[in-house]
Amino acid sequence: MRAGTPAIVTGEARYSGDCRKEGMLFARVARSPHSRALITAVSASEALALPGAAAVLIASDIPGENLIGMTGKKHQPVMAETDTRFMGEAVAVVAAETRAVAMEAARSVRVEYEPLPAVHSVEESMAPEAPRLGPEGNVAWQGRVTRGDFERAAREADVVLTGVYRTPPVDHAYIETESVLAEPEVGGMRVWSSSKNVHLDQREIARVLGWPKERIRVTAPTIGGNFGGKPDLPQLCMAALLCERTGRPVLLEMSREESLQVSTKRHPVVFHMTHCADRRGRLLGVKMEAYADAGAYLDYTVPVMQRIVIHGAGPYRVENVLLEGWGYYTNNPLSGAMRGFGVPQVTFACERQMDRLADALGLDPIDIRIMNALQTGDRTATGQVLESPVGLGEALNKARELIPAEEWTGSQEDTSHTGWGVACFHYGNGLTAMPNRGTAVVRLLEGGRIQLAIGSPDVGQGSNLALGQLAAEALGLEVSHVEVLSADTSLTPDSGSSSGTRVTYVVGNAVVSAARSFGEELAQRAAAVLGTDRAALSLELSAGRPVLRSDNFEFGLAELYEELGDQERPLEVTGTFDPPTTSLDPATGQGAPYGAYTFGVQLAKVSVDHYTGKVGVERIVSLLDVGTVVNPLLLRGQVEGGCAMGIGYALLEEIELQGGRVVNDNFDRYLLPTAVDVCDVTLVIIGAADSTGPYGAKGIGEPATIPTAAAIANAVSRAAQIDVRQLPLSLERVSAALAEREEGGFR
Amino acid sequence: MRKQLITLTVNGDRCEVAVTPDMRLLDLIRDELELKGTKEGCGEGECGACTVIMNGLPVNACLVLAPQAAEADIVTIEGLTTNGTMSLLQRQFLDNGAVQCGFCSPGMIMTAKALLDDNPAPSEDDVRDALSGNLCRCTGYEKIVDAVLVTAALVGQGSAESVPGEGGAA
Ligand code: FES
Ligand code: FES
Repeated sequence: MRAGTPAIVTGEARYSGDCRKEGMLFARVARSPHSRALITAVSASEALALPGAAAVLIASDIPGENLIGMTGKKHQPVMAETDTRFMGEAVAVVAAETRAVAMEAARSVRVEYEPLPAVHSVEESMAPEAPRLGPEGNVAWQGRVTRGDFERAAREADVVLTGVYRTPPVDHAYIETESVLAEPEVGGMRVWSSSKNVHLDQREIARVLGWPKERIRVTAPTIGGNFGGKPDLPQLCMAALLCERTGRPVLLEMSREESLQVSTKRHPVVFHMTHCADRRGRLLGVKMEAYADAGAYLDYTVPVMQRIVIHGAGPYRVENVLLEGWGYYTNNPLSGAMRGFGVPQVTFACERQMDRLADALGLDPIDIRIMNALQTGDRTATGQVLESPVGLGEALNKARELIPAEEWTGSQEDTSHTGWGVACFHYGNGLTAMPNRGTAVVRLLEGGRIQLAIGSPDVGQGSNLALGQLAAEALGLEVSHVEVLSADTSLTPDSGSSSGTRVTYVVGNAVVSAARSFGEELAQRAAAVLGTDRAALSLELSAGRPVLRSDNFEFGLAELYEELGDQERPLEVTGTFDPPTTSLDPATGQGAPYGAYTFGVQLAKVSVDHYTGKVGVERIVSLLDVGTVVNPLLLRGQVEGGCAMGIGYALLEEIELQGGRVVNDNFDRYLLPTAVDVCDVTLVIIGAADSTGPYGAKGIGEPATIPTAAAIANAVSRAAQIDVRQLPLSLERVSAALAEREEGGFR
Repeated sequence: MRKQLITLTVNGDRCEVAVTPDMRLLDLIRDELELKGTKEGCGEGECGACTVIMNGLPVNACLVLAPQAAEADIVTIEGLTTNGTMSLLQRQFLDNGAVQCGFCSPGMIMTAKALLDDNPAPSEDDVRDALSGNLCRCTGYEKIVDAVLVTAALVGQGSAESVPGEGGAA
């Protein structure tokens, strides 16, 4: 069974930037050249006077609220009104007959600024003399997870190991930049957005326009990658505002340079870790202080920081934890959601600690993890009992078997060192400690077609196919009998976002429930139409076609549809699922934040060039407990893509900021892994069906990328005998560490 | 800006287009000829999403000025499908899971086609090298490399040049 649709390889698929409409205007944003400044005057007259300019909008033109946000907390303006807080923030937006005029008009918007001192790091933001950046000061979020008595554990431990770890800001770098098309429709507006959540888009646009949301229809066309990043909410709302003002279709695109400057980044975090263990390597306590740069506005900092503290002790059994986190406002580009929601960062810090602990105790890195790995029935750091089977220990044992001992030790050649590294992770599926209902609708359409409708977009990962398979399974049919429609606020229910590794697990459960009820409903309706007993009918395939069959006849779905009265059409059934979670105790962070966890182990083999510091990743082995596998090809695609993204995070990628400006604002200097930087990935599926997942399935979207950088960092540390504390492992960083080691500086 | 008329062949069709000196071949293809299969990912020759074949060689259409394409023979992704039948290479991209979001796919396929036209039996390293100018953020490249190698093997075995598409080009 294949992923993807023929339209993609023939070039017919339409992404939002490919759409053209009669009378369409091109839009462009006028952006702040300052990281922090007061806006003292804005003049649009020069821009408006350009031949071909159609409209210029500034904050005071917004009819509704000038306040948006990806979560419940609305904190960011669509366009800055009184002051700008990060470089590239929107100040005005223009629409014109051509792209060229739009660009010139955007340049011609006159804005007078009074620059203010700006804050560009967590350290600066913490300083007592720092300017106040957020509504309640400079702390965007703070919270903790605590259990047991860490201080006592530290006193009683045989080893106490501390370390400071740093991770860089990185970009989603989807190859399609953000584009939005908004067009007038009778009574309202249609918006095409390459979004992970069209229903959220609809609500945000409605608030900004001051319209009832029913007047706005948001549809996701084919989406050119997401990884937690799209939509850019200000852009989305600006396109809608221009459409409302001009009454014409408006396309608002972003250049790569704009995208890298203004789109959200993976949170850069500084971790102060303390691990306490007994002589044998048993973890007694873990303490973490995580300081993250939230950027200029709140965006996703709350859920990302929550994830960081919840996952702060790693997938290990630890009785005593004190896991604290802070997000600080700065005048840097916003930090947001990116594949893994903070967990790739914390995994790097935790897993380096585990390796260093193993070294300190003379233990093998896999042994120490086996000793401490969470098992079925254990409690997590938040005190949640893991009732579903946990495949982590099995994955570690398997990892041990897979790599021959002599290879595991690595080798030192004349010019390079090779070696393996290991990292473990766990990842809660779905949104954190809050209701996050998934909803699915199954309908019978004309001709007997069965349609599955879900709001959560297929962002390229293949969720439409995976969800279609789950529906087909529940109906006892083939996937080809289920038409999947997603991401259209008029035709699909609000199933929440395609993020947080919630689609397979949360939405998938809703799909199974909807499909089961739909099958029952079909049989009941058919029984009523035919005047037979419901129990005599079953939904089956006959000559490749779904029918309701009894002992002596078959009744086709097309016929059933025809027999239904007008009020009964389309016959449709809704299914929902809300994972069994609790909120977290505000003081202790104790509770059950997720309904299911994905677990895994990753092994990476690297070579480190002794002279240049160049790291090559030669092989990755990914051992995953994802419960039941829904679609092996899609799973493999997620894992290979996730590993590539992890290789980039480990070795290449870092948004370089100078005074809030992204210096490497295109792919000549923001380097992504290419076909020659990636390696063979061996995938090993471990574990048993999850007791709450759809047919036992759990999610993989984010877990695919979480452990890769940590495993590579551990491999590089072991192979080259250096002590990696910071990502990425650029040539400069590794060669400096090698030089220091030569001078006897190691440990 | 002063426009000039140029003629060129795109996917086998002669066309005449009025171009400005600063227009890119990419804009000519996407905006003037309305062939939206060719994508823009960076605008500066780094991502390969805009790859088309010009006079037999793969080029980044964002780096070629439209006037430079006068009299050129251009093939875009749309040119690989004939009468609703996709090429073997396109089919292998689908069958091998080489497509996720698909934004890189047209450029990848054009680069791969240029490689296979030039070297029908490439090694894995040849394929990786040829594709190293095309970025993909979704797949991790392994399946893309597989798709190209499988295509080469099938062609080598004398398998049909193309197979019926599933609702390929309209
Ligand atoms: S758009 Fe031409 S190479 Fe990226
Ligand atoms: S499939 Fe998404 S960029 Fe390649």
